[in-house]
Amino acid sequence: MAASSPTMPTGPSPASGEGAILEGPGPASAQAVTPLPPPRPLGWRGAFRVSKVVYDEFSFQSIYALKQGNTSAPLQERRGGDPTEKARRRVAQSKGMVAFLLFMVISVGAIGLRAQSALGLSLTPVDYATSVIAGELLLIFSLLWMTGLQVAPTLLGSRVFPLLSTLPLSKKDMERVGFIVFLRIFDAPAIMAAIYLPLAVAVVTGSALAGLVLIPGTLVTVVLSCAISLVTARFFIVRVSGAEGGTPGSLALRWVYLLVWSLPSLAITAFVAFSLQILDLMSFWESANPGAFRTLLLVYPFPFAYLASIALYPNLDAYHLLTDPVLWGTIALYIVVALGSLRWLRRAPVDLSLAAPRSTRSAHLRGTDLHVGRPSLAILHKDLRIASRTPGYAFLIILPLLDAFILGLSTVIENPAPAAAERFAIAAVTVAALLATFFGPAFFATEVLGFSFTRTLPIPRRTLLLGKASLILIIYVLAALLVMGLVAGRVGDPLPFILFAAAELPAVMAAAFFELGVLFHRAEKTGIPVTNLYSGAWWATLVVLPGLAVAGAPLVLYELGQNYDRALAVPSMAVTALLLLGATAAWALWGGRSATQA
Amino acid sequence: MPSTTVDPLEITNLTVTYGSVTAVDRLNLRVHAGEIYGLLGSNGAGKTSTMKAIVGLVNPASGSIRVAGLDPVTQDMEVKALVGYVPETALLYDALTPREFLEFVASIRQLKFEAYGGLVRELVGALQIGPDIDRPLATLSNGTKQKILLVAGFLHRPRLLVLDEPFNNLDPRSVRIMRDLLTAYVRVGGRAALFSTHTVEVAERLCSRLGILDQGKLQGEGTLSELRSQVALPQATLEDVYLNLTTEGSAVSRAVEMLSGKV
Repeated sequence: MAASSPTMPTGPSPASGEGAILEGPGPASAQAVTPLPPPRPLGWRGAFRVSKVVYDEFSFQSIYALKQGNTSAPLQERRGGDPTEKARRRVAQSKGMVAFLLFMVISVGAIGLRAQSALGLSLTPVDYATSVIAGELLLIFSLLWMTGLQVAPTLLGSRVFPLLSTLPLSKKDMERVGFIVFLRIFDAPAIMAAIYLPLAVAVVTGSALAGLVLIPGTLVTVVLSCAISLVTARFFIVRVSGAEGGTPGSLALRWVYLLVWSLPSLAITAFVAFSLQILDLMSFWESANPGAFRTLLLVYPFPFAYLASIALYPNLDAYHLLTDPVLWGTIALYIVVALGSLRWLRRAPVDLSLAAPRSTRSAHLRGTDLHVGRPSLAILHKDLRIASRTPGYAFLIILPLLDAFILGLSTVIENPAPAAAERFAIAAVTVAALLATFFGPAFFATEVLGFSFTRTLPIPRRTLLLGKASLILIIYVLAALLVMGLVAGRVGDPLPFILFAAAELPAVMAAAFFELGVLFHRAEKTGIPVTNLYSGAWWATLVVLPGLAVAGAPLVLYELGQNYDRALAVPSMAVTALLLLGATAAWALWGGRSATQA
Repeated sequence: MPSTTVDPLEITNLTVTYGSVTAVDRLNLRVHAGEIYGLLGSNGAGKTSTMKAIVGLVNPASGSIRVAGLDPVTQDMEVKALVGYVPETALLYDALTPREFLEFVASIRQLKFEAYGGLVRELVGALQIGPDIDRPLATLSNGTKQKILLVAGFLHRPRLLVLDEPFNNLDPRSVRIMRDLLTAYVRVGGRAALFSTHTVEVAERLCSRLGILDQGKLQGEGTLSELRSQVALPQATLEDVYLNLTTEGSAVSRAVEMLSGKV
């Protein structure tokens, strides 16, 4: 220790200071060290209390994780109220929206139980009711799985449980906290599914027994969907988010895995789009191959649906399944699997959160060459790479393509006349254009992940805007090509469709410029470089809805042109789209200084 | 084109505020070519805010900054092209690998392979990050992320390096390498580095001149001997000087008294 002057404070020194501090006053030997008693177990009540804090942190990270690196965000949030309370409210809104969606789906399905004669299907009443109820259960499964896929990675990656594990909490208490938090994430949708489906079936059919019999099947569905959410979330964290890069093969493999992510939404869309075709198929199957149909009734979720149907029509057990031990055996098996899953779910949120992240294969150096390209392409490239490891972003690309695919496929399945097929194709491209416009601005949110660094790079506004807008355009073009590929054999003359898709292209670009321009302008004005579009309804209203209006204006003109003068429909659409593109590009690309000056 | 004869950094009466909080208060400092200027101060002293103002992350409330004679507010693109910044917290695109991140930075800076190729190879080798170059940043340690940021900061051979606590997460070997590298780097091309730290030893060993910041104000500036003169302690260590110039000295003595039971 150097000599201190009279003005210097008495600083701690290794010789006298620090030791004395740690030992406290008096001789060290006089200080008997009394070990602290082990902490009392929290119990469920204590775990619930702790879970409130964990849940708040989860909510905060769900809503605000994208604002990492945003230096001004705390000040902005202070003006807008307590950010934690706001996050909690927005997570509650999200859960409410999923619960409402389930309410709608279940209601429509339940009403469908009475619509067999109106639909003119030849299925027996039992098989019809079984198919409808099984469809309902699969929809609930898919919706809860899709919801879980959105939120479970945030929970597992939130680092809350590693932090909790440093506190004197027993493993059992930690698991209780984790389980309660997990339940709270799913509470509103799960309760809606578990209670409302049996209730709706009972009310619509007038059979309380049918509702009661359906309860185990609904609970099994809820538990299995929660479990698969967690399993797939962990899979994505390891195989997608944590996967090694560096080769085109690894990139392609990640995108293949990401397609799994879209399975639940594919199932939902397919169920909704093809429900009648599926019922038709069931009808055909029932008459053509009753043996196979009977086997299908033993596959989840059909046994549960069949039991409810037999409760509705007790004398119509044509397959004599009620007396078949195989049916009861499979039902028991599904219940045992669900109970096992429930048991696993009690410890899985904590176990999976604490599991060490690992790379999918050992890393080895493949040289240090860098592939350097144009700045706007670098932004596009970066976004695609981020999306390939971030299922939430990948979903924004996949969903418009998926919807275009489903709608294109319906054209093939329904086998319409060429003119009608053209209308189908145009509708599919319209949906893709609107979805690309709807989801595209969310890609601006990727900038915030490393924004404190990126803002120090010399990125001009035009470069960033072009990079972002080109991604939206790529989604649209891919969707249009996908539809074209599917309907190519159905439409007589593909030229009108190609002209339609080409005429809409500038409008999609214009909408992208408009939406991104609003985001940039706001960033420059407030210091908030970006926002998570799904965290504020007013902001979505300001950005996305006007964007949809820009993309939709030429489409409206096209429809009007169809009614008045078909020859002018596409030209008027193209001119409008080009005018919109000119106006929005001028405003967005040259309307400010630099994009990184937020 | 900025002149190499102009000082890499000149700050005049810089004030940075966050709402009612003044983080930097009328700061004046100048960093000459060939210098590593150390900003020494405790947490919240205003070091990071000063650096954020230089690289354009926050706008000054008043005062001016000139980087090689250019204004970061009105000539932000030019200034960003001249500055290499290593932030205090390694907030990066976690979904990218180091290679992908460096490719992004090199593309944005429009670098030519001949300009960065050898440098990247040498830095990656010296800092031993080769095996991690294709693993997502999310799976890497904070130290490795910090190394990636250092490589990115050097990539375009900037005129001014702005390094905010750059050695916080590094192992001793990497600290030594970076220290040697920085010392050699600023010797040529009119370059300089502004370096913040709250570790006295690092500042003492690395920096040509030091500025001691406390509560947003520059309390002392110069070489170690000049600082000793300022506090009239010819034999004092930098730690002594630092404690003497900041308000932390009295707080430390109070805490020591309380913990040792004297109060």
